[in-house]
Amino acid sequence: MINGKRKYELSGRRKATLLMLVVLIITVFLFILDIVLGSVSIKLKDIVDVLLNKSDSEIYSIIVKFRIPKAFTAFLAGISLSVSGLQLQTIFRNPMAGPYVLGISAGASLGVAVLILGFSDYFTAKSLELLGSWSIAAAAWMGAGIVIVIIMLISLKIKDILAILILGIMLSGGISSVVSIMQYFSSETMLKSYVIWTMGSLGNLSSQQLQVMAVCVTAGLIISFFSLKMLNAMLIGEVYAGTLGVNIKRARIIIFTSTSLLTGTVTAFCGPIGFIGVAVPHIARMFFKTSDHRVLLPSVVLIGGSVMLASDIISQLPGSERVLPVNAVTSLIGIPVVIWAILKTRKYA
Amino acid sequence: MIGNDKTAAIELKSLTAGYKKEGTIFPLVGPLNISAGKGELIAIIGRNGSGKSTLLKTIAGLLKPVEGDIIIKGRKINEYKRGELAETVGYISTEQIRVDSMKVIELVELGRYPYTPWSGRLSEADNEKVILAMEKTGIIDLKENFINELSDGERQKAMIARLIAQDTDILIMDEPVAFLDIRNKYEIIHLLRSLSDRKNKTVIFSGHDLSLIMAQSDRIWMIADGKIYDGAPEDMVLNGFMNKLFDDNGFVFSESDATFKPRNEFLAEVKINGEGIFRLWTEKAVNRAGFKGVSHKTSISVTVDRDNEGLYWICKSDNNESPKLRTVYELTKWLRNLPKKI
Repeated sequence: MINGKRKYELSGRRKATLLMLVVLIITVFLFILDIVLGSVSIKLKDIVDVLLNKSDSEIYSIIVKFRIPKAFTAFLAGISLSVSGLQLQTIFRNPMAGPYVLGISAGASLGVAVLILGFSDYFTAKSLELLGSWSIAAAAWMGAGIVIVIIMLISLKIKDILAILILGIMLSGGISSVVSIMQYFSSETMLKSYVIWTMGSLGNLSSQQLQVMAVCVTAGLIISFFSLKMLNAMLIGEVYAGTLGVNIKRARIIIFTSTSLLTGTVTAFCGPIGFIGVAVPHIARMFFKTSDHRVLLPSVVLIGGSVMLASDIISQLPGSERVLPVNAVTSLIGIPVVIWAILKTRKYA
Repeated sequence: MIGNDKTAAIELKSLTAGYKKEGTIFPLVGPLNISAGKGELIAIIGRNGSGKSTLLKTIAGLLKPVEGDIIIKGRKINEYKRGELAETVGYISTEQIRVDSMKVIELVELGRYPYTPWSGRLSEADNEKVILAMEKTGIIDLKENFINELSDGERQKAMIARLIAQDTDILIMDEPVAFLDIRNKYEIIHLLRSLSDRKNKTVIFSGHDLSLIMAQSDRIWMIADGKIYDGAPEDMVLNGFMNKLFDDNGFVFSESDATFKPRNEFLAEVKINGEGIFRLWTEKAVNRAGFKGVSHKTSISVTVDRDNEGLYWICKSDNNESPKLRTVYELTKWLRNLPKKI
């Protein structure tokens, strides 16, 4: 029996490793594709040429100043939202949880709105830039964190999966009304900078913003990496996790910190992006057929990054001058997965 | 206050268990002064709402006592660190776990949680315990199945396997056999029996399967009126405690076969002629038909005997005699028609 087990473990692990390798290759491929494709079509050979010789051509500046940062941003955003979604689904034991559906992205926007609009009388458009990327990020973390705590408190009373979802929708709705009221009372210049922020996409991050984002996403991922064991125990609920020796309060704080960091940062710099966070963990579970976070976390990282890169490629409508909002693309990719997940959950309800 | 009973696994000292709702405390059981010895298999019985689950949760450290102390292996429960307690006391409830894409083996592996390092990686010894737990509970062939696709009974067995993999000295189980069919009930209770006999584990479980509990447990803690009536199953019967489960609702505990029966108003007495188990089972049927089986002479009699075709029953009353009835079913039918014939 023990031998049989060992054999199983090897083959199971080998299968997962192989699958992970395939996903990694797809991710790298999509990353390159995202750089190659765009409104101006550039041959891969030219890109390599330009990167090696660093010639100061137009192509060089498109590639280095625009496309590579954008691909990085997409990759980081995909990772953050998907890992947030995985953590939320585990902690709330709710397959429908995700940063967007639960209103956490909206909370992050509110944080930014309060910062930009709330102090509109004291700032000029110029000073907004001086506020800096860090303060915008921090405002978003706080907004995200507050919404997570609200949902947490309510989910202690209500266990129903769909009720929590409706709650998330209500929260999002409430938050956007608050933001529109704030917009009504703010000055024109502030309003303009806020509206530009809300249309935020993957493409217009400054290199400083990208740095901030990279640091925060890495921090969030490190926290998540160290809570893998805890997350596995949380799967069977807080009571059982408690009897296994998990400090529930501490676990919640650690994991919610990671989620706030990840979701807040992405929302701060790219605006709210929907349905990636809820959909990607389901795709990962479908392929890897496990609930073990030690396998799920790396797979969610890679699949999340890939899906976001793919969404970015599609949103640029390669070869054309037009660009779709990336949020529309992610919704179209994510929503069918969410519906599939709902049907799957109902089957066992 | 340190426990003075060295052989006790658990001591309850003036413990009152209850729950809190909107700031008000509702005490359910207690104050209790009772201890559970190492290696004992203790069944908690009581009516719904009597506080069985609350008491079990309190002993497992999941609920704070309303009053009093719980002493586990000589130390107060609140002096234990989380990890230590997880290595000493294991718990399962009746909550049905559903987790997307979780395999049986992944669930059972969680039992090793207190023993693995931060990475959660299982050692060779951990893996062996996981396999052993699945073998003992008879779910080894299901180890690659998703728990969402199991039957309720199989899922409950997987939960019990997780508890066994946790390898604690004390196992607290709230209705562990509630969802199981009769064969699985027996298997699980036997498994608990062997855990207490061979591994010297203290098992405290609640349940409603009286005859199984009477046959297998070392002790019964019966909760009634906020108190615990404690004793070996036989003590409970001989002291007449069992009737407290029903109070006076027209049911009486039958000391001879550990079942509850409606307090019968018998139609008449029936003399039963027969030997051994044939007599015993005939008497059961006669009782069910509304007559009291006796051995002295009465106006009605039932004779059970055997001829070359097999068993037969003959029922005689003053003015009536049945033919040879070949089944108990025919006998009870005949008896039920008797009053009209009388």
